[in-house]
Amino acid sequence: MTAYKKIHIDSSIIAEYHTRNLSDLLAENTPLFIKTYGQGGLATSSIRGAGASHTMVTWNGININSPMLGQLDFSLIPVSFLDGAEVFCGAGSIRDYSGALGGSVNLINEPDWNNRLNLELSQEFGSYHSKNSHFSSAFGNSRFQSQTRFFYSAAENNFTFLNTEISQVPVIQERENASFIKSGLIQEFYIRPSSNHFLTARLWYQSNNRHLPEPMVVIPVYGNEKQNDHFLRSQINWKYYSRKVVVSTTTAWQYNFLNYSNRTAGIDSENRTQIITGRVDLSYDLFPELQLNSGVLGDYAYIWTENYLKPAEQKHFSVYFSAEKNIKQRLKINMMARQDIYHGELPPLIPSAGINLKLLKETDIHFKANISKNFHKPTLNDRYWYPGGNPDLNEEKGTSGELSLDYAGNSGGIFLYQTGVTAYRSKIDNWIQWQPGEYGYWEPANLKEVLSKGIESFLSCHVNLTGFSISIGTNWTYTSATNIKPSGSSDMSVDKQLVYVPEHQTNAHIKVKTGGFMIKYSYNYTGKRYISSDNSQFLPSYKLSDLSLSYAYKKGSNRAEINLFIGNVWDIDYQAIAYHPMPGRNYFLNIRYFFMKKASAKSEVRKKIRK
Amino acid sequence: MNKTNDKLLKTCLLITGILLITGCEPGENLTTDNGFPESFHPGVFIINEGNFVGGNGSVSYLDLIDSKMYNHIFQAINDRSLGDIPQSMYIMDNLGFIVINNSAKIEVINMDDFISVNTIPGFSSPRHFLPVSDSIAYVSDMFSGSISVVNLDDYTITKTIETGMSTEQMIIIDNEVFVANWMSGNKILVINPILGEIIDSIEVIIEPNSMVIDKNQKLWVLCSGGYLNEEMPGILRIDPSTREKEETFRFSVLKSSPSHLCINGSGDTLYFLNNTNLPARRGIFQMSVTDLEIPSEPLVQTEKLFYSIGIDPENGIIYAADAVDYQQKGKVFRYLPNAALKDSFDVDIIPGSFVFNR
Repeated sequence: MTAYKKIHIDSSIIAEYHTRNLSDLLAENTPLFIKTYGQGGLATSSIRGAGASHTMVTWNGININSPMLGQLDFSLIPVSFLDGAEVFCGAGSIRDYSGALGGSVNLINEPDWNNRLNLELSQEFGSYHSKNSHFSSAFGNSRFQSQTRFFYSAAENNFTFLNTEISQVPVIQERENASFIKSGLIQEFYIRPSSNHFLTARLWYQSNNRHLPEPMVVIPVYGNEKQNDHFLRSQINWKYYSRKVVVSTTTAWQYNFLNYSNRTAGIDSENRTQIITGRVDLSYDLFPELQLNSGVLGDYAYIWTENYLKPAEQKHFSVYFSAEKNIKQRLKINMMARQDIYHGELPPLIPSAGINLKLLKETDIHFKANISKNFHKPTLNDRYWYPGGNPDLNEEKGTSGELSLDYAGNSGGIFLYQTGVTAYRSKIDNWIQWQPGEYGYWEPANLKEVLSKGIESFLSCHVNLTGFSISIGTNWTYTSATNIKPSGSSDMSVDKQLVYVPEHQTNAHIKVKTGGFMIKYSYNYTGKRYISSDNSQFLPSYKLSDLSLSYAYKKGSNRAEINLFIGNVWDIDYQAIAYHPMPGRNYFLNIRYFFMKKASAKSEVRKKIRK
Repeated sequence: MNKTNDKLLKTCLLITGILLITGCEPGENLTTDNGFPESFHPGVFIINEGNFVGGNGSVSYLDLIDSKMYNHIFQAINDRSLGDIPQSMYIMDNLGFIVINNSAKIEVINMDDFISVNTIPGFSSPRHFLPVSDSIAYVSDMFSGSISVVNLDDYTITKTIETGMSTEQMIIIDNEVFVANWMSGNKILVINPILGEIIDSIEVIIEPNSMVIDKNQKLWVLCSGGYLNEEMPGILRIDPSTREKEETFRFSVLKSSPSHLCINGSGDTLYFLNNTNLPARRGIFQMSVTDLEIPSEPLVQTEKLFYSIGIDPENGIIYAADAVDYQQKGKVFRYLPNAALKDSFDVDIIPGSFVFNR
């Protein structure tokens, strides 16, 4: 247990969401607020009231946020491409990168060394002409593993909704221009030639084509606005383990092409991004009770876009050092520092310190506290967009502190429970916002100062009886995120909640399993979200529920599973983004087939290699 | 002091306080009414654009007889949203035409009760509405490269006049329509509405964004010089009968972005907004139609950037809109013709234009 808040999403949760995308997974299992335009539409996150570009997304430790926008669209990450995920709220992300003023999400791929042969086929059909296919195959032995995964996902998304805005008498309309087609492939190779060397190579290609729908106050024009993009991400990692030292080196190359078109406005723009990253991490157990970590990271981004005057490049270099001291197995003290370098210029040093204290000897109850500083470099669009971009913008500076109490218990393996509460306070100075400037066009400026205070709490219980199990999980989040700096005497946004950051958010689920049957009910409450900075306009809160029923049949190495998913069970009419309708009750039927051949029990005894 | 006395004293203080406060207010008190007006006296309509794809455009109304402010009147009366980015409004007798840019439609309003009597769909990116006869109106368009011709008897688009370029503000003088080719343009097109054809074009300065007619029937055109400051901005005076450029007044600072050319009721004084990076040269400018150059000092100098202005044709009162952070209720400041601040009141998100119903 470290001194920082980290939420781990394991393979069993991943399996339940395998036909869905990362935005659903995070919205229903973490305190993150996901701002989404609906199935297939842009989904970004806000952690602790911070902005979308303050969430850093890494793929096995490599930053995959767009350097242009500084953010990542969660709707483009199929959960079936992951083996796990970890979410850092607050400062825990400093170990990997600077810039995550809200927090970070790391997407994990890892081998199963016990696998010998694995095949998986999944097909889903659902409302609004939705089709989701997934295929994966893995083979290997205890020294080599290869895994190939493929997905295809498409939907017309032509759900009906009640348009209350277009005429005095509300009319039932069919959603137009919301269709999408996505497909992708991920290939991983893992080689363990000896117990102290571990080589990994991964390649991820994906293509996404989508229409962008209008708000319901606009009469749709078919195919008017579109976004097509494809990307290739690759990484090679080598890890060396000795008795006291672990060395990890990674090189990664990413290419992204994005075409945005808007026929009415006569826009058809192309954007190309290339990023090369190299990183070396060193972990050294100096004494049994003192662990040192350090690392260097360099990345080079090259952007070619019609929206900048000339191609832009960014050279970034970063060094970090951390030390963790263990005192009597009860107290852990952690110190971290990171120094970035951009084109030879030094932004402020990022320090962080934290403690983790086991309060009682016999009980698993921990008190954690940490403080940190961080900064976020303006995105390349902020700096070079033409017109408006401002290369002289200041970094957004963050200061944060948090206190947590975590408790885990276990009654004879039958009743397991975990609960925790975290209180935090963070401040972001020089918050960048775009607005029209002197010459009429939009320009970014270091306008706001945002103070966030909040509470995150969770509870999860698991009751395990013979042939029967019940799990319950819930997150409750309170976020107060306000601007504290007036832009002038007329500015009424001071001390008001930021737009699209709900003060209250809850997600919860209950899952019952018996034999091959599983029933899961999930619930999500999103509190009211202001849509004007003076809080004069808001979207009402909503409560959404999903129901999932499945049956699995297993015979030898074969397993078949059928799952019925009912989304928005109570057919709630709601809006996540103003004037963007969301679908009512929807149905998805999924059939999955697995063939699994594992290593014999004897070789299973071999310890799984430490990651 | 016993409790009763204490209470009495407090009440007295409270009453005195109220009297003092109300006594200090200027003669004309503006109050905001949360309902909607029963009838429409002479007043000012303020078109609040709202956020792009935010769907939160609205109309505010200031009743100049009762000194009452009403916000969201379209929504309150018609029980639905106005649309995405209302751009302009034209009052023609008993009807109001609100051009809603990103909703690509025009709402036709009965001016007695503000009830929408019709919605004209089918535009591309409409900007301004101008009737050219009793039964025909033109609608300019930012992106389509054409002007839509609307039949006012059945509210349909009957045809389009191809312009091949973006069109913005339109003015009719002596049965000829002068159309500003604003976005990426530098021309004033002249259309004969009887023929329905472009008969001439006048080259001006880059991006003519607003036009007015003065008391001498001269056409004044304000050009921003391009939003990237490609050319020195300027004001031109054109004789519409000969289509000759009589005068070209240039600004002295390239990094200026002048806009919103307005004229007072008597047609002898021009007003415009100029935002520059020099705060001393930023604000509302006043220029007589007989001036020989553009004044370098503003009439009303402001730290903030005003988003739009309007001039009351009856009394010359200047209305200036502050969009604050473009995500909250905007504020309107009223200045007397002598530049003294009269008062201010809240409207809604991004107040973009003022329409005087006098």
